[in-house]
Amino acid sequence: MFYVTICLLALTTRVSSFERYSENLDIIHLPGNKVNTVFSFTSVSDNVNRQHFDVLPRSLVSILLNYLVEELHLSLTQGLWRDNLWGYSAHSAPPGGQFLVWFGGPLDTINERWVNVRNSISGITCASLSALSSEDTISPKLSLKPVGLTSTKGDSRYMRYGVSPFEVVCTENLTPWLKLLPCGSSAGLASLLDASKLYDTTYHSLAVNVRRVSCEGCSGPGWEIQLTLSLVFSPPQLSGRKDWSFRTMLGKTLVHSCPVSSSTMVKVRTLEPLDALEITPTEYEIISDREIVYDAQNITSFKILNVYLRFKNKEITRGLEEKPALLAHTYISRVSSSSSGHIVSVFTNSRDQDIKILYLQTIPWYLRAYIHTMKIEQILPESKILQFQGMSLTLAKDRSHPYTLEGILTVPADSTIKFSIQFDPLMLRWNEYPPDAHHGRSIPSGIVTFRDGEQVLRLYTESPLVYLPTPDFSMPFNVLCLVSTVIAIVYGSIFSLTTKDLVCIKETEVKKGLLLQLVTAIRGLLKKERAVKEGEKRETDKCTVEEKTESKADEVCDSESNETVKIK
Amino acid sequence: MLAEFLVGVLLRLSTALTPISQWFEERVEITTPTSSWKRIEEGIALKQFGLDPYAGDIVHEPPLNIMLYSIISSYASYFFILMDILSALLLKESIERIHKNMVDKEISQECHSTFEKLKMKLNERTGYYSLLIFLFNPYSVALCASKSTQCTSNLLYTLILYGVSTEKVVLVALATSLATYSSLFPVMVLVPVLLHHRDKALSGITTFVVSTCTLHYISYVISGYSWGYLESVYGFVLTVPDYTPNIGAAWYFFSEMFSHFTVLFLSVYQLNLLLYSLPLSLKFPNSPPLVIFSLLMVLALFKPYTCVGDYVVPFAMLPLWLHLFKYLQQFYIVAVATVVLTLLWPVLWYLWVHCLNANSNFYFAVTLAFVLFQSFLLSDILYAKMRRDYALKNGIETKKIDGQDTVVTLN
Repeated sequence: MFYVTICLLALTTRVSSFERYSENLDIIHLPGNKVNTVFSFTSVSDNVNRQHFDVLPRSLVSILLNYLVEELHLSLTQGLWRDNLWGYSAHSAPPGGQFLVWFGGPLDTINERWVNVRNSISGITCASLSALSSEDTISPKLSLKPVGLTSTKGDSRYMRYGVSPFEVVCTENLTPWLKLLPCGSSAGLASLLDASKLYDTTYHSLAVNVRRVSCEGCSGPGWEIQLTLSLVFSPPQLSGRKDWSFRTMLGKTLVHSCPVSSSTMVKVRTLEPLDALEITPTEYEIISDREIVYDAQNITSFKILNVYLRFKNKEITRGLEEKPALLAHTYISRVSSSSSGHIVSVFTNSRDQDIKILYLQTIPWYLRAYIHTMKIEQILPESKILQFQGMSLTLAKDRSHPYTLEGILTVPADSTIKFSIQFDPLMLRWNEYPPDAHHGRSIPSGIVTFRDGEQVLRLYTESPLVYLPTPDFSMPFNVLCLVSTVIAIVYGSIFSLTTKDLVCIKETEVKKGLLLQLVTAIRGLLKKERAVKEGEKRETDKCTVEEKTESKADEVCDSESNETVKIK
Repeated sequence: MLAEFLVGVLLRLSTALTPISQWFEERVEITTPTSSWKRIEEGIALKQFGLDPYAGDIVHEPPLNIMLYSIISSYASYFFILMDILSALLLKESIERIHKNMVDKEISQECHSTFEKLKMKLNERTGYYSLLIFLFNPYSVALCASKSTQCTSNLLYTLILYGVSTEKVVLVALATSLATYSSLFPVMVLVPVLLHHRDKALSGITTFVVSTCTLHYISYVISGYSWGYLESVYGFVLTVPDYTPNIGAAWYFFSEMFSHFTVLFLSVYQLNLLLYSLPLSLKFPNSPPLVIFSLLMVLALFKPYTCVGDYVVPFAMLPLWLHLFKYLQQFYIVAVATVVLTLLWPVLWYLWVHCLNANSNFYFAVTLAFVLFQSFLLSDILYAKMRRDYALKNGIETKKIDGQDTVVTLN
């Protein structure tokens, strides 16, 4: 009885320790009949270095503690968030994998810890972050700032950032990601995730965000681990209707809520006023005229939750109410006469006031970018040369690190400006190409940071594909042999010219190479045969000649006789 | 004379100041990572940004060169035309002198009775021929139009030749140290000259060492008391980390190399390049111009970042060997191959990089064939020299031994 009491006491104290877990699902209508569903699972805990956790994923926290990580952001994204069509996203991420870590602790071990963190996180998310070598790692000074509490006050030397645009996101990343949740995929909002539906979406972004936060009543800064999954669905338009439900969109309904979760909220935000829609079940709270929320923690009130949204009027199509303040795009333009090209970024300000932006572009070392060709110009409404107001530049070093270019720019009101820089794609060593070498390589997307009203926004541009000249991968042996042969020919001829002297010898004594000897031998044989044949022929010829001479002699005689006759 | 210069300058102006120069600047056969003007511009720009040009991997010219080019950068085209004109003048002067020296030396030589038939006649036009070859060689025109810094190296090579022709060892040492400062390998040109003028060898070596040290000390000072440039300038040509195609064989050789063999083959390749100076100088101790010609050819063949510009000076030296042409065996083949392969470069480059129809092997085949044929030219001229020397000594006609025909062969 005593032990039971102790156990119960221990349980109650543990539950009352500072670990909270909550789940949220935001369903946001986007223009163009798209639905953005954002799942976010947030765990918060106090700063206790203990061996047991209730809701925090231990595999993750032990990595954080082991390598003195203070903040970590990982995103694995497929597709591109279209700011111009959908507006800004709170969970925007560049295409491919993105990994950002802020470290604490001593500065000199950071590179080593960065490698270890990369490998460990690769392990628990099944992502190929380990392929993110130092060649792709940068520490930009201005663009990336910590969002949580750090002991280093945002000193960029404590930060490592890498993007691998070629990272392919798949269900093998989702399964280990779900295992980081306290309820896994068996209960709660995560049970709505069906891989066959998730990878059928236009945009898919899986993220792990860890930061230090101050928590009330804690002894120090606590951990906040947020796992988010942002998806953009195109719900099937049945008979011209844009209606959707959990079942049609996600393929599942919510049956159980996660018991350790403190709250489970399902929010729906629409572009149309609520009275144009019919939403079931009706046990929701209205937040505004376009936003409702379900408290799904107490699932028993619904039995099962299958939110179903039906448009009363089917003709409604709405675009964005307000154009995004700033749009950024990156593309590659090729110079026709050569293999070199330009990386071009275009920024469009559609507001009536200037916007100050911070632009970060990473260029891999295998594209030789020429800083003197960097050009910033206003192209609309009038053409004008501009300058960076501040710039930080790190030059690339082959097989070591990429170019990092950060610049502050003012995009004038209602105008478009263009940034361009020329590059030459390099030919690499044959074993430095990725397996699908002829596919080309994607360059990391640019990051644009700016302030829109109160909030600081971050946009990611496209990551364009660049074709690198490739060698023939089946040739190493051949090339080695061919070039060595040519060197040997030059070396051999000069060697014999410098070490030997010209002498006069009998033609028969000339030393011949093996090949020449063979040729002479064969020729000799042929000659002999021919000689034998000719000998025979000559004999017969001789006979005929002799005969001929005889007949000729007769003729002569004849002619003579004729002549003599004539004379006579 | 004046007319030829005028036409040469006009030809260069018409290519350098028209958009065609842009095309030449992008050609990998003409500009290499160590000589392209684009990289010089980058170095100048980086300095203006307050960055160390050698922090990146673009600039491979030493600091003093960057300084020189930053002064003339706004009229670079004219500067390189001027370099070419100076080279042409020096070349004509030195080729004429060398030719005269050769003729004089041959007269004083003890020879066989049939010498009269072989005798080298003083040809007043030898210098003029090489001037023509230099001024109207398409390689040279293209090089000048592309603003390649190889033009400056070529001027230094002709300066070396001038030094050789006037027997001024100090001048040769000075020019060699300048050329070596830019691209390291020309140092081997010093060997035949020093071996020929043994009495002046000490002053030559002293001049070379002192001027090289001075150049490097000044570079060290102007690059902010840092030796960082050494790795970017000389480490780059020694370790060959850039596989941008060129007309040599090194780019594909090292790009296709198994990584565990790289060090071995790299050292063999570079040793091969530096190897020839001593044996050739010992074999032909009395004709430094021939050895210098051979070394410049070897440099053009095996320099890791070679371009058509490297062949300009050796080709312009060909009129010196007119008396050897009787004994050349492959000159016609080499000449035809040079023209054909030169025309094939841009074609196969286009097919590989733009159309993606061909692959790198096509381009490599052409560059390798070019190296092979030019090496034939080199060994052919060396053989012809030996054969003619033999004929001078032993007569033109081959003797008969025991009534049998004989041949002259290397043994």
